[in-house]
Amino acid sequence: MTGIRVRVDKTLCGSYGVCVLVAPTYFELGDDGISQPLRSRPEAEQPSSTDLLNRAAQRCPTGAITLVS
Amino acid sequence: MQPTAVDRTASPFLADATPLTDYREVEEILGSHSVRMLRSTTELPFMHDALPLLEGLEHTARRRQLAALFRPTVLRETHDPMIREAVRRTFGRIEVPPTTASDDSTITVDACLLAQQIHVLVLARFVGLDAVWETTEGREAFERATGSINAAVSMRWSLRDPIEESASIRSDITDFTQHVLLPALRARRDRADAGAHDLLAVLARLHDSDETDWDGELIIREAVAFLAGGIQSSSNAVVDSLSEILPWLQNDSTPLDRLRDPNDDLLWRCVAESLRLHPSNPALNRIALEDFTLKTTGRRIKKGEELAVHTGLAARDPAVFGPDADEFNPFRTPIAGVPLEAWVFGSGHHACIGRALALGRRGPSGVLGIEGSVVTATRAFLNAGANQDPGSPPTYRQDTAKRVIASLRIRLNARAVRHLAAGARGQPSARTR
Repeated sequence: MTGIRVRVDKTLCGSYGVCVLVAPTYFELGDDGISQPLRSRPEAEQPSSTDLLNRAAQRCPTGAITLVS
Repeated sequence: MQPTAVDRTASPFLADATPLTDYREVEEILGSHSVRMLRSTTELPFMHDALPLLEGLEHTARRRQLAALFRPTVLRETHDPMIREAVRRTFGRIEVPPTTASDDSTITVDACLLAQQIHVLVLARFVGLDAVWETTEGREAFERATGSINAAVSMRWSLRDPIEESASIRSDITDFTQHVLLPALRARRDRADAGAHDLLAVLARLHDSDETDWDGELIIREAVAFLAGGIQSSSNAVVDSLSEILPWLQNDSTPLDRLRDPNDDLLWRCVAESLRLHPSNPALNRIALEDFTLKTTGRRIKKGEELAVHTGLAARDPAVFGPDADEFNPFRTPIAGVPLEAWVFGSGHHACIGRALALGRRGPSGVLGIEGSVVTATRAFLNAGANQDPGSPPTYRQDTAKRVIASLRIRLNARAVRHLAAGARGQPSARTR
């Protein structure tokens, strides 16, 4: 988990907000309605963090979220 | 009779579909690109090319165009104050007879009617139907059409004769379009207010843009889709929340003061928990575009297979929500990655765009950020001293396969109603329960 980077492609984000529902501690919608990661490099706080981020990325309807190790 | 689950024999659109009730399968299929929505031929005339029925890139493009209406700043600065004013006006319409003018007197009202009146105003302002706010005639014309507008998007659940119902809906929507919607659209275009944050203003701007191919009919269908999607589901959510909260409040240890506090998220949790138990759409239908296998369970789906995606039953999956999943418990903590209300607003491309208007948005730490119409309206009832009338249990609609409360008689405190109608945000100083 350490070193993983979260990226949101603002040109793809459709403001669906699914990422915020799945991983509210890692994403929020900005005032432009576009998703933004709260921490671009989440630390390994809990074993479930990777799973949550993966699910948020997988559930994003437009594929705007990518995780880079 | 209280239908507590989907009656598949009474819902023809689900009868031949493969039922998915496992939470993991429901979550996966809602986000899958291997399925699309199965359109209802009865609803299509009222909705075709409107956002709820679009797919793929077309859907995403429209969604991005309309997302401006749900930006946090718009929700906070435009919609939140408007929702509070809608609540104030609606409670101001309650007749408080002189004979009940003492502090402890009560008034009996139908929560269904009040919740609908609030959301008629909320959705009218959201869409841009100024006449509904400005004149009694406009409001009454809209209220008369509300039943048919709501029915236009839920015919698949209806137990009425589809031909008769469709004709009735068409007649009422035509009348509403002529007398309310088109004048409002003309006014929007004449005014050319580039900063207006309502649906008609946004659609009019798109219509006038060289980059889009909007036509007038599509504007009408899109507006009807939003009105239909917002009024009934939000009104039902308020009533369902009250139907859960009021019996729960009979327990003396329940913190009523916390529910009334707009800085406390307990009421938000109550509303979300009620939505989990009583979703507006307990099942969604999808059709497979290709052969594929669900990663979560290994279930194989064939191309062309129709799927009944039971979001309502998945929201009661004990593996996710615990052994008491059928019970109302706003202190519940689902497993990580699961919203408290599950996926009753849908997910993937067809996630409800109006969720934030109804349920608001919370900050990352769980504190309230923006309060939605359902939470605000439910709090108003509690601030008005709502008590369930013990002699009048809720009644349920018999013309739909969904569980929908038709009437919920509750008692309100007369002084608190006057207080709300005067525009005060908090509760009166004395406890009204």
